[in-house]
This record gives sequence, C-alpha cells and structure tokens, in this order.
Amino acid sequence: MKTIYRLVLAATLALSFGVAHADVVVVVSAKSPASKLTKEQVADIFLGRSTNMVPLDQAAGSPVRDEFYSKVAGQTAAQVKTTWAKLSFSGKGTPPKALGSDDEVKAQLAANPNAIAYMDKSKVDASVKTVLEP
Amino acid sequence: MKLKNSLVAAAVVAICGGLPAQSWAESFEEKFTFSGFGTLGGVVTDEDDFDFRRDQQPDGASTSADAGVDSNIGVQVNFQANSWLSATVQGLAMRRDEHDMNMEIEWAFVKATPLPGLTLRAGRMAMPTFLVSDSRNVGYANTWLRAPNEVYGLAVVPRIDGGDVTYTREVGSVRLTGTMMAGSSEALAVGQHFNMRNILGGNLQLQKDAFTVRAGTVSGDVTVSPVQQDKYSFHGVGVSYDKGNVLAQAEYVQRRSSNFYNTVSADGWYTMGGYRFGAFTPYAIVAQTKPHTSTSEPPSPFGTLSGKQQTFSAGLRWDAMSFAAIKLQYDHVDADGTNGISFEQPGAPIVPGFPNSMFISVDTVNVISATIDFVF
Repeated sequence: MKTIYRLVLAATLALSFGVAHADVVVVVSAKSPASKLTKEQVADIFLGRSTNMVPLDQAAGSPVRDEFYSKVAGQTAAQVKTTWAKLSFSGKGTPPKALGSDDEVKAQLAANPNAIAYMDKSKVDASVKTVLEP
Repeated sequence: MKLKNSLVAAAVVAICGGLPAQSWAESFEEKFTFSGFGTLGGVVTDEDDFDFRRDQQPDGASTSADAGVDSNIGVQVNFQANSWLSATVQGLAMRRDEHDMNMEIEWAFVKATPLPGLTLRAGRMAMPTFLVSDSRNVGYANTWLRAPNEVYGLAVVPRIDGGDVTYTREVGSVRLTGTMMAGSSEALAVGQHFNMRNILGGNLQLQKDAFTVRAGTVSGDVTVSPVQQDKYSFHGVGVSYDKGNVLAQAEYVQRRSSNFYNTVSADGWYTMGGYRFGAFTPYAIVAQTKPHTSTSEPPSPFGTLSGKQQTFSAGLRWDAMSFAAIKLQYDHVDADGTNGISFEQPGAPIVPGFPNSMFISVDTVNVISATIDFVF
C-alpha cells in the first residue's frame, strides 16, 4: 500500500511539474499594429514560409524555444533545424536571430514594431502585446 | 559564364560600397551570415567488377569501401544589404566528374524582393529540376542518405547562369508559387561538357498544410559539335507530405532529347516513406528508371546513356546531436543486365571517347552506406 501511495504522489508531482514548467505566449511590441494571429500564421513566419514579420528566436536548447515549436508547429528542435538548413542552403532565407534573454527579446521588439517573438507568459509586461496563446 | 560571375561580383561590391561607412562598420556582423554544411560518408558493395557511384562520378565503391561517393563540404556567405536586397555565394567541394573533390562556386546570386511575394534573382543558381533541387547536396536537410539516382541521376545540367522571377501568392489556405527562369549552362553527358544555351524553364508549386505539389519543365539548346545542335528537355512532377511523425515523398521525371532520342530519353520515379520515433527516423524508398524508346526515331548508334535500374532502399536517420545526423542505408540495386544508372567501370575505355558506364552489364548489387551529416 505504502509503495502505491508513494507512486501516486510521485506521479502527481511529476504531472504538476510538467504542466507548470512553461506557458509560452507569442508577443509583439505594444506599438505593433498586429493584434491576433493564428498558429498557422505564426508557424509560417518562424519557418520561413512567410516574410510578413521578422521572427526572433530564444536561445537554442532553451525549454521555452522547444515548447514554442512543439506547440505552434508540432516540430522538434531537430526538425526546425532541418527546415532552416533546407531554406538557408538554397538561399531562400536565413534563420531567425537567437537572443539570449527575455530582456533582449523585449528590447528588440521595442526597436522593431514588425518583429515577433515568444516568451514565458510570466515575463509578459506592458512593453509587449500577446498575439497568440498556443 | 565568366562574364556573369564578374557581374555578380560587381553587384555584390556595389551593394557593399553603396552603404555609408559608419553604418557599414556598425552593422557588418549583422548583415553577413556565414554558414556551412558537410557529409562524411563511406560506401561498400558486394560487387567486384563495377563501381557504385552517384550522378556522373567516374568511380565509386565496390567490395573495397569508398569515401568519395557521398562526402562533401559546402560553405555559404549571405549578405543582407537591406530588407529587400541580398547576395548569396556558396562554394561546394564534392566528387563530380573527376575523382578528386573540387571546390566550385555552386551558386552566386543577387536577390531582390521589390514587392511582397515577388522575388528576382540574377547570377548562378541551382537548376530547378526536382522537388529538392537546391538542397539535394545538403545531407542534413534530407531524410534519405542520398537522393535516388534513378531520378536525380538523370539530370545532366545541375546549375544555370541567368535569372529567375518567382511570385508567391496565397489563395485561401493554398500557397501558390510560380517561377520562370532563363539562362545558359553546361551539360555533362557521355563524359563530355557541352555548352547549353537558351535555357527556359518554369515551375509551379502548391502548398497546403503539410502537402506540397510541384510540377516543372526546363529545356535548352545543346551544342553537340560546331555543326550539330540538340534540344534537351526535362519534365517532372513531385509531391511531399510532412506532418507530425509521418513523412512521404514521390517524384516522376522525364529526360528527352530531339536528335539523340533513343540514346538520351529516359523516365524515372521513386516513392519514399518514413516515420519519426523521437530522434530516429526509419525510412524506405523504391526507385526505378528505364530508357524511353521510340520506333519513329533513329536507333541509338552507341547504347543508352542510362539503362534499366530498380532499387529498394531501407535506411535510418538518427538526429544524434543538435548539429549532426547519422544515417545508415541499405540498397538492393537491380540493373537487369543493362548498364543501369549507378555504375561505372573505372579503367581503360571499352569504346574510345565514351564512358564505360554506357557499355557495361550489371545484375544485382547490394550496397551499404553510412554518413554523418552536419551543419555549422
């Protein structure tokens, strides 16, 4: 019995941890004219199929980046990298610039109203506007 | 071709020189992107007499393993002058029609996007013959270890010096992309380089969700000798599907010639399927080619450029690291007693002036290949 309780407790902890670890949202500058975007529109922008906006990435290997691509495009980090290898080595585009921190993302968004990025929901402040909660 | 290269160089210099010195220094790093890709591979077969190769390589693997069939290294510099103007130069070293890996300028073009959806390019570009024409040499960008030779090996013109216009438009949920191109190049066939002029081509691509459908055609005038011209043409259709864990792809192509119809003409197709299990993607390919003959055309005086060949391949792509994939592939190749398309017999020519690949007779060959594909 004791073992079962322990297992249930461990499972509950693991589950709640899994849910709580990140809640990614897609954002633009508060000054941007963009309001709401669909998953498909955001995926097109970040996978080089649409050049209407300038996408900004988070650091490679960061949990927020992996979660973003998984939720918005249903792709793993390796699939995203393969897609960009295809595009960049055929001269069709260059991958989004990867930024090191949320502050850097916010600074770049403020400087470019046409830029689009993603971050953990808890990092959203008045300088940005949420356009998609995937 | 030299002239066009200088034009591209001049355009790049003009774009760079046109920038104010201060902003140039400040944004130097932001405007230039340097990247590269490569493949390190080895192939071995159970056939002593003939070498297994890709495209028009003069030698390859037999029962003694060979690293030159699949290995290559490419470097690319991209210069983004502003939001609508860029230049791309790519150097690629691989075994082409000589044994040694030679670095050649694969592409050098200036690209302008004057209006949303409209792209103009001028310079040297990949010949847009196939579904994955422009990234076929980038191992990392593809699931398979190498593109099926029954289809990709049929093309004798890998690149074009000229220009193209591409227009992309969304109609409902379908993205339509049309491209027209014109230029000149060099065709490589029967072991010789032929000048090719008046190349004209067009292709149309439809993309909806995970589906991509593409149809294309290209033709050009080949100077066979000072007094003899030929018209070469290539047509193809392809479809690909990639969603979640499932990927599938198929293509059908036709190679035609006006004056050497029964020597050059051939058809080829393949179909591929794969499934992603996390970092592992097992896949299988069936591919086939055969000469296309016509009784109303004169018979070929010297055999066919490529013969009959059917290959069954099973492979595995493993995304082992964030910058590299490891691949293993087994091919069972059956050339049915013809010269096939993936084989060459190095050494003294059987018929002087022609490659031995036109005159050999190959049955079944088993091939094992391994590669590491990387990007940087």
